[in-house]
Amino acid sequence: MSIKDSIRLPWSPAIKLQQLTGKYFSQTTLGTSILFTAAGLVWLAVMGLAALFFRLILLNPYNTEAIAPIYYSLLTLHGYVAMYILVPFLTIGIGMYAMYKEEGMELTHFDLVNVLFWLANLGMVIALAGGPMTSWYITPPLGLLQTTFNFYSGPAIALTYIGLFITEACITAVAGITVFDGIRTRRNKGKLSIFPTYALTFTAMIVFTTPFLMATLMWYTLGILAHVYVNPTVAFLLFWMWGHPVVYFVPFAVFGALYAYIPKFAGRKLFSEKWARWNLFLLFVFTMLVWAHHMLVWPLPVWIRGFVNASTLLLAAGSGVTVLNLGLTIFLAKRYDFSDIRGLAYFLALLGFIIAGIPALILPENALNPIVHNTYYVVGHFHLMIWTIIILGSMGIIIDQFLNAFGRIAPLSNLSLKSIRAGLLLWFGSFLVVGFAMMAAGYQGLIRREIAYPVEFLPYMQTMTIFAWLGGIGFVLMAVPAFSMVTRWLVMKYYSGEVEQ
Amino acid sequence: MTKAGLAVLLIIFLGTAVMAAFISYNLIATSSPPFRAYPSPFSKYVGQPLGEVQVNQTALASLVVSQGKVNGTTNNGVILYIPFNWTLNLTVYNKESFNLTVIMGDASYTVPTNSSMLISIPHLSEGNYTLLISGEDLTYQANVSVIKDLLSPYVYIGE
Repeated sequence: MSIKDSIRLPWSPAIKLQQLTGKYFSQTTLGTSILFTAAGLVWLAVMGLAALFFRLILLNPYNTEAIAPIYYSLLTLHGYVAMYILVPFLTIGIGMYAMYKEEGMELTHFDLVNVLFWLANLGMVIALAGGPMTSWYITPPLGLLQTTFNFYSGPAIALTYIGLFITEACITAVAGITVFDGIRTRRNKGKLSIFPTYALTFTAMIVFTTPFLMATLMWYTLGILAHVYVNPTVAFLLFWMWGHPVVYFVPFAVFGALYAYIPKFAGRKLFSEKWARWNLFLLFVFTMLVWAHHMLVWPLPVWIRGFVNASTLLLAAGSGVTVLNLGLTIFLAKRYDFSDIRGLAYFLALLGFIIAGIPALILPENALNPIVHNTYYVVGHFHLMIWTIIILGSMGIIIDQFLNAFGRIAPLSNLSLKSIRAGLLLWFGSFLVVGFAMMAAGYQGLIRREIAYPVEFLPYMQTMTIFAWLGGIGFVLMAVPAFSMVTRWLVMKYYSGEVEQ
Repeated sequence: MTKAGLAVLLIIFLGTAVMAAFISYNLIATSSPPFRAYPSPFSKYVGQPLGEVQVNQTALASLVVSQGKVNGTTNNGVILYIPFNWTLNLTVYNKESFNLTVIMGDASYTVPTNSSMLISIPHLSEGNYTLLISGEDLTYQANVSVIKDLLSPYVYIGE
């Protein structure tokens, strides 16, 4: 009997494993893309709840050290989940969906991608189990201070580093597999359509930039376990070589969706496809040349300051070309279809991106950065970006994804459509207020990440907290119909016998 | 032609114009000599975090790094630009188990262990002054950054 025959025995672990993977692993490209975007939404809910709770803590300007562990734990959870897992998951999910929907490109390594997906989640759980208080301090900027490791050192920190390393390694591998499989299975000839072009380019960027973060994490692990000297300047550079491009993964992948679908809802062609395609090079290259603008209060040489100031403004010009292209497309159309919730989501994402982007122009200016450096101004700017182009842009794509996957069997009811519409508008309006309250307070000197603050800022904090909770209600209004859609789909499939009972 | 499209274009162009004006205002307010003061509302808060009096003129401080050491500032100090006729009040808190030596310009002061000292230098002439802090402990002098459980000295600077 050959070895092949022997593994076909009923008790063989290989068969058992095959049954399990066949039953629980996603085996379609659309399903796998939903796995990533849906997991992204779950992590979004987790980190959003953390933020809503620490906003309550911030209602007291006289907080003492007693509350600090809870506050910083929640803050760590919020930031870590957002940067290390939510953003790459959404990017990969959007990348998979774009290539599947527009070009019929498919994943082929389903089992591997599923295993990596669960390992990435597990890594994040391990990282947070290492102690959120320790996590907060382990990467730059606080990870640069020697005193940090006088207070927080030992195996728990190493565990956190290793957990994050596992997550990032898995994410990098999945991003690579997605692009590789997609290119291999492409059947169409000629130019790749615009949505997958953008989405896959910025999925590929995960592969180009995340190794820098992995190197930083491994270096710190060796620092803890083997007492290897960590050069703070080099560690900081490595961290930001990932830490800046990461903020563009989702926005620029979403740009692809805006280029593809805003013209459809406007009922005309994109104003300039040529601008959109050439702009990709600018966005891709300059995304990786601007990270030093996070270091403007460091003793950097003048030529680096000049370079990074200019490169950031050039990147902003690239974003400007994008919004102008899309704005002209809508302007020159006869009408824009707001009745479709996807059309509304894409429009709000575009509008939010403009409103969030313009106030950022002060940030890379060398002479002016110290006025707003490390204040709520920065927080307001990048959160507005997250709330609009990242979350609302992704929402448009996810609604489309869900309608494609579940809509035929479990279509959205009128009430669900109204709920999602109300959720989109409530989310957008509320977070617009929070963002501008943050920027106004930051301009007046409110430092971020502090538990106590001058009492003059209390009205700003109250505004932020109230409207953040309203925005949270907006999320629930969008999530409940999506959840009920999936539940209904599962129930229908179950009773029709398509799902194994 | 849609109103929504017009709104998007107006926000792009008007928003950029408003931001350009905002940036120009901040640039002039912080860098032109006749207005060398923080624009309102900064002046309200400057100085408060240090628990000192309000500063209404710009004070410049820059870190000097020789030998490429940023973390442990061995052989390095802070250069303070002092405007004409300022009184400089330095409060040095020494929480170490040994005395600290503070060198400000040409003068030197000893801050005993577990104590604080107010060093007041009135009517300074305009210029750059180097502030250096060193300890009697040799390990401390050799490499500040690697001593476990070290409480760094706190220096508060007020006008």
